[in-house]
Order: sequence, then structure tokens, then C-alpha cells
Amino acid sequence: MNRTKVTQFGLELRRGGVLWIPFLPLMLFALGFEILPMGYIVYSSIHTSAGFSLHSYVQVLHSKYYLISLKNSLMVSVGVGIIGLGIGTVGALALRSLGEAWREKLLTLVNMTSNFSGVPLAFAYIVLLGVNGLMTVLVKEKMGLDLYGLGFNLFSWTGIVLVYIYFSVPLAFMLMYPAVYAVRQDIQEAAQILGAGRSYFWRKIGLPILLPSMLGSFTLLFANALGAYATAYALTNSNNTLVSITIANLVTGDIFPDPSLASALAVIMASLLTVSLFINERLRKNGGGTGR
Amino acid sequence: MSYVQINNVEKSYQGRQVLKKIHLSVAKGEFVTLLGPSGCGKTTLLRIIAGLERSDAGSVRVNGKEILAGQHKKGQNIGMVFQSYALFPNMTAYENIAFGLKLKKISPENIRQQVGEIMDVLSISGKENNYPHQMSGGQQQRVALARALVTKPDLLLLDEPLSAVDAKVRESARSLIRDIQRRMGITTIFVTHDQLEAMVMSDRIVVMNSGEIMQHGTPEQIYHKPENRFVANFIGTYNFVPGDWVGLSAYEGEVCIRPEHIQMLKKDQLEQFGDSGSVRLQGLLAHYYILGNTVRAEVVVGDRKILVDRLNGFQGSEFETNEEVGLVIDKDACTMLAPGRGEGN
Amino acid sequence: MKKGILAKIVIILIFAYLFFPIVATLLFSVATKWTTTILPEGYTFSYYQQLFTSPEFIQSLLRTVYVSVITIALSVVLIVPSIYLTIVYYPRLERFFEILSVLPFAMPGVILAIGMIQMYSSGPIRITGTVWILIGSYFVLILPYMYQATKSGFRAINVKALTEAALMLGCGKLETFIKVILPNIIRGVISAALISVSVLFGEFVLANLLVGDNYETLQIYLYKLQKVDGHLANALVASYFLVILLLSLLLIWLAYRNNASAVRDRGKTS
Repeated sequence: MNRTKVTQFGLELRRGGVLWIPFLPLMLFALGFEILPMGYIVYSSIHTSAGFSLHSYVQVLHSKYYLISLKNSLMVSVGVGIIGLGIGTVGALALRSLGEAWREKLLTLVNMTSNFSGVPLAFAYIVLLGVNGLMTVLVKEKMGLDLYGLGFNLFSWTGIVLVYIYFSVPLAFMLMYPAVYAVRQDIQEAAQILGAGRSYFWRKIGLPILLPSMLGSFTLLFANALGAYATAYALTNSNNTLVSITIANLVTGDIFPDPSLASALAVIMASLLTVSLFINERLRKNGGGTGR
Repeated sequence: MSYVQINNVEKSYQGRQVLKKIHLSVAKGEFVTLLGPSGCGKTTLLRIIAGLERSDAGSVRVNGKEILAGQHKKGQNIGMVFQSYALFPNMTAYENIAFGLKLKKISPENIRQQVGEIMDVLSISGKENNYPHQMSGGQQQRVALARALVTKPDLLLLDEPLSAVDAKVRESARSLIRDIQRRMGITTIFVTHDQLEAMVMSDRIVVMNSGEIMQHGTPEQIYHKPENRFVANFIGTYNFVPGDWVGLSAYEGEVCIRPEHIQMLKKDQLEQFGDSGSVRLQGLLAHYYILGNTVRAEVVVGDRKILVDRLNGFQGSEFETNEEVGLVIDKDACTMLAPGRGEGN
Repeated sequence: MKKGILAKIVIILIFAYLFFPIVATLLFSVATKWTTTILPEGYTFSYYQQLFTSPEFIQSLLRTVYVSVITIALSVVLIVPSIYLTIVYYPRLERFFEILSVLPFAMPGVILAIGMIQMYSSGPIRITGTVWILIGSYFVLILPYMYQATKSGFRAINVKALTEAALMLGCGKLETFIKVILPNIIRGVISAALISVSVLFGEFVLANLLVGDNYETLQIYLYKLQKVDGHLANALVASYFLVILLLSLLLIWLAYRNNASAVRDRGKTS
């Protein structure tokens, strides 16, 4: 088995002649800026000034601060994933029942909004819902509702979750849109003819068909939120304990730089991302998950 | 007394009329096929009968009850097999078949017994716990059929259920469906664009084109006595010749003759054959090729090309290309077509 | 019928939610005074005028354009021939490209950045804080988009058959690539490039962590400006939205033309 593979590849090499040369610069770039930095993080996470040790990982596990930042990130990402997925799925289902002409146009609009994230998005929300934001002032004047007086604060967890949901919705929409077509019209009609009502159909057939895609989309939304940095950074000036912000602070911060610790956190985060992407890939292979 | 009565059914989509005043009645236990090219309205008609689509005008009655769109919960008992089977992908074969029974609030023991019986009849016993994607196309087809039959429907509707399986499976599925339909005595309406399938399976064929019924009758009637050029063109192969060629000079329309009803002879034998009931023509054999169990000759007579089919005998052919040949046509083999109807395909 | 209305309401609500911040930003950028009214009290273009005449803005814009153009050009030059050669000569290398284009998903900006900082702040190659490290990291950032979009351009044609046909007619290998293959996939490459432009124009993490003040890109300028002058920053965000809108329309147009010509071609053959 192995041997035939080698000879097969050998054959390909011989057939192509010197045409492997154009690959070299690409491989060099990939190596230098993708593979080596990644490897370096792993190396750095188990290499402290005292030599090779798992000290950094132990430190993460024993520090309330780092554990809390991990927990915060996980909770925000899971919460945002669930809410974003809910809105996206309902939206995709609603879009499915609209006319064909509208569908494509609306979808491209959604696709466009999926580009709005990071600093500009955070700023747009500050203009709207900041302390002197348009909505904040308007609501106070017209309805007598003092948002900030009621405990709302854009520059806190509430704000982060709110803005994260915003950039998750278009993504969820785009991911679930092809998935809702797995619930084919004729399947719905077959159930209808056999006497199933709409809610019965969705409970017994529609949702079960959608479930794998929803799980797959959730993993991607989760991964996207977990890795996000700019939005939170712009909203809270790095004064929060999300793991992405913590990692960056540990490397660039002037106060307690600890690259090894940052690397350990990065490895933990990358593992979480890899697991969720792996789950999605698995689901996709079984015909359920969602593509990117 | 007709069991299914379709009266004056009309339907338009965005200003385009897809069904024009359709009248049709089907007797109890009858197997009726709606045959026509794609876009002829046959599937729309089937969907209206199924109550999946609302007609613009007219009515459909099954066993005396009027069919209204979207009223399936209220005791309409119609079974349908979809072109793509539409099996529920999240349910096993057993759960798929039992779905309709469960909704009818039948006791679990009875469901088990009825599902077991129908799976036995369709020889898919043992596949109870398989999911649709774990079964072959033929097996999925049987599950879909079982799901439609298990509720003992008043009427069975089949929407091209044989088009997605390969030729071998299709052939056995044809006789299986026909067999079960006869045994259960279930009234069936079948939609297809395959004329051979229609011939093999039906008690009666309804040929449709652009929203109209072109002709209906038994397979024999449809094959041997087409009423218009569309039906003649659609079913098998026909030669079309002017009426005066076959001694019907008074007849204005065209006459059609099946290629297998024309006899081809060596030119010098022509005098010895035929009687007063037959017509003799001469032509040039332009082409001669094997179709399988028949051999087809293309004979040029005047400005027309006449096709002649003969059995492909073991001794081979005595004719050669570019040979002058004689043709003998029995006048009884000629069918007169109503002029003007269904011309432009 | 009831279902149709419900679907429309849901769609309207979601789109209102998605477009509300965008519309508000656009309105705010041309508002003279806007405090307690539903719509602005007056309109002006002075913020845009101020912004577009500000030398810091022009500088940062040019930097972003510069780094984007170099990265994308480099990426096209390296990736397009490689994908072609993979399809025609080395199908086994495809797996390798897939891995390369999936890795960035497990390695978001923050992680990539701290890896690079640690690698390139000391040792033989010290490029942290220079434009070079930014180009390198941007190359990785857009790799998945470049790969996927270019690949789908290739998927639309039968590359192998075209190549073999050209070679049999006596066309050289390089000539085949330039004269036969390239014109057929150029749309895919252009959409890949446009997607990358929209990604790079919105990129903040890598720029902030790897170069920061040393090479102030548009997003970093925006981040700083936002603390100094809200109205100017808002005009910048509005311009950014408009540019993204323009890019999206361009992409849609490209995709639509692709589809339209594909439909035409199909019509011809059948």
C-alpha cells in the first residue's frame, strides 16, 4: 500500500519534470509564516527560562485569573454561538419560503454585512449605544429610559456579547442557508399527505434533519467568536479577561511579559478551535456539517 | 360509476395556462397512466389530485369526497410515491413506513403487524433498521411504495417513481408495482414520460400535451389507433404519408403506418405480392441498419423517407444499399389522423 | 398564506437589525447636529472633507493600500501557478494545500501574531515592527480565501483537458498556462483578490500586535482617531462601509457575469 503510494508520487514527479520549482517560494512562505510560527508557539509553551518544562501549563491551571479568562471566552463564545445560530437558522428558514428572485438578492446583502466586524463595527456600536450614543440619548429623551442607569454598559460583557452576536448572525445565516435546503419540499409534502401537520413535521422530521448542520454551524460560530480580538479590544481597551486579549497582553504588555505562558494559553485555545473544527469536518463528511 | 372524477380542472402559473379544462374519470381498481413530455401538465394534475396544489377551477372527487388542497389531516386517504421517494432521512425504513399509521392513532401492535406485512409483500423484510442512505435505490423505492400502501389508501399516486433507478431494477419494479396494484385492487394514477413504461403497466393511458388531454384509451388503442399526429409521434415510430398514396385521395389529412406493418420486397417480386386490399410502392433503399431484434430500412419514395422494420433473422439480409426495392402496405394498417390537431408538437 | 407573512416579518426584522448600525453610521457621518431627533437636524460633508484632507489619513490609507497590493500580488503569483501545476501534474499535493488553507482557521490572528513576534523579534531574522512581517502574516491570513476562490475558478473549467489539447496542438507548457489557462480563470483570481482586499482593509489584530505605531495602517489610525475625534472617526467608518459595499457589488457582478455566461454556454450546447 505504502509502496505503491511512493511510486505513484514518484511517477507524478517524473512526469512534471522541473515543474516542482514554482512550489518552492510558496512552501517557503508557508513554512516561515504559518508552520514555523505555529510550531514555535508549541515549543515556547514548553520552554521557559529554566529549560523544558510544563510549568506554563501548570501555571495556567493554577491561576484563577487565566482560568477565568478561559471560562469567560468559552461562555461568551458558546452563548454567542447559540444566539447567533438561532437567529441565523430562523432567518435562513424564512428566506427559504420567500420567492426565488428575492432570495439571492437578500443573501448577497447578508454576505455583505458579514464583512462588518472588528474596530469599525465596535465604533458603529459606540456611536449608537455609547454613553452619549444616538440610541442612548434618543431612548432617554423620548421614552424616559436611561439605559446606562438601568445597568447597560456597552463597554462591558453586555456590549461584547451584543457586538459578537452582530457579527455571528450573517455568518450563521450563510452557513444555515444551504443546510435548510436539506429539508426538501417533497419530504415536507410526503409528510403532509400522510397526515402530518406543520408543527408535527418540524418536530419529528424537519429539526432532526437540520440538527447536524446546526451543530456544525455552531462549531464554526464558536471558533469565530473564540478567536475574535479586535472587537473586544476596541470596546474595552484590553481591560477585560477574554483569553485572546490575555494572550496578546502577555506578549506585548509592558508589565508582566511572559511569552511562554502566552504560548501555553495559545496552544489551549488552538486545541479548542481544532476540536470544534474537527467536529464540523466529521459532521460534514457524514453529510450534515457546514462548509466554509 | 367512476371512482375518481376530475371535472373541468384548470391551472395557470404566472399567466401561463398549464392545465386546460381537464376531464377524466377513473374506475375503481383501474391503473391509469398520465403520459406526456415534460411540461405537459401531467405532474401538476397529479399534484392537484393529491391535494398538494390548488386548482384555479374545477373539482376532483375521490370515492365521492372532494379533494381540497392542504386538507390531509381530515381523513383524505391518498398514498403518493414521489419521484425522488422523499423518504424521511432521519428515520429508519420501519419508522418511515409506520409514520402514516402512527398519525392515524393505530395501536403499536397493529402498526407492527401491518408494517411487517407490507415489508414482506415488497420483500424488504430485514431492512427495518436501515436508514435511507444505507439502502440501494431499488430498496428506497420499495420503502417509499410501502409507506404509501401501508395506510390502505383510496387512491395511489405515483410520480415517475421509476426514473431514478437503473434499467434492470426498473424492469422488475414495473411488474412488482403492477402485481401489487392488481392484488390489492388499488386505484392508481401513474405519471411518466416513458411510453414503454406506460404500455407495459397501464389499463388505460391518458396522453397529455401542453395542458390538454390528446387521447385516452387502452394501450392497444393508443398504439394502433392514434387520433392525431402528436400521439402518433409520441408513441413509437410512425411513417406519415399523404392520403392519396394509399388510395385515399378523398381524404385530406395524412395517414400513418407503423414501420413494422410495411413489407419490403425485392423489386422483381413486387408483382407477385399483395392483393386489392394493399398498396404497392417503389423506392430506393438508402440505409439499412440493425436496431437489435429488428432491422430498420430507410427507403426513399418520391420526396419522402419511409421507415421499414423487419425482424432480424439469423440468415442476415438479402438487400443491399442503393437497391431498388418494392414496398407493400396493407390498407388496414393505415390510420387516418384528424387534420390539424396536435400538429406543432 | 400565514406562513408567508411570518417569514417576511422575520426577514424584515433581521435585516433591520443588520442594517441599523450601518445606516446610523452613514447618517451620522453627514449630520451637522443629531441629538434627540429621529433623523439628523442638518446635513454636511465637512467631516469627509476634513478626513480626506488629513495627511495622517492619507498616509495610513496609502500604507494599507501598499501592503495589501504587495501581499495580494505576491499571493497571486505564488498560488495560481501552484494550483495549476497541482491539478495537472501533482494531484497528490492537493491535500497539502488543503491543510495549508485550513490551518489559519485553527490559528486566529492573535495566535499567529504571538508566534511571529516570538520568532522574529530576535534571532537571525529580526523583522518585527517592519512592513515585512506584516506582509508575511497577511499572506497567511488571506491564504484560505485566495486558495478557495482561485480553486473554484479552476473548477469551472476542465483544466487537464484544456492543457492536453493545447499541448497536442504544439503549444509550449508556459505558453499554455499564460495563453490558454490564465484567461479562463482570471475571474476567479479577481474575485479572490477582491475578497482579500476587503479582508485586509478590515485587518486590525496583526497590524496592532506586529507593527503597531511603526507602520500605522488604516485600522490602527481609526482606532486612535476614535479616541480623539468621534465625528471624523465616524466618517472614516462610513467610508469603510461604502468601500466594502462597493467591493461586494463588484464581486456580485463578477459572479453574476460568470453565471450568465455559463447559462449562455449551456444553452448553446443543448
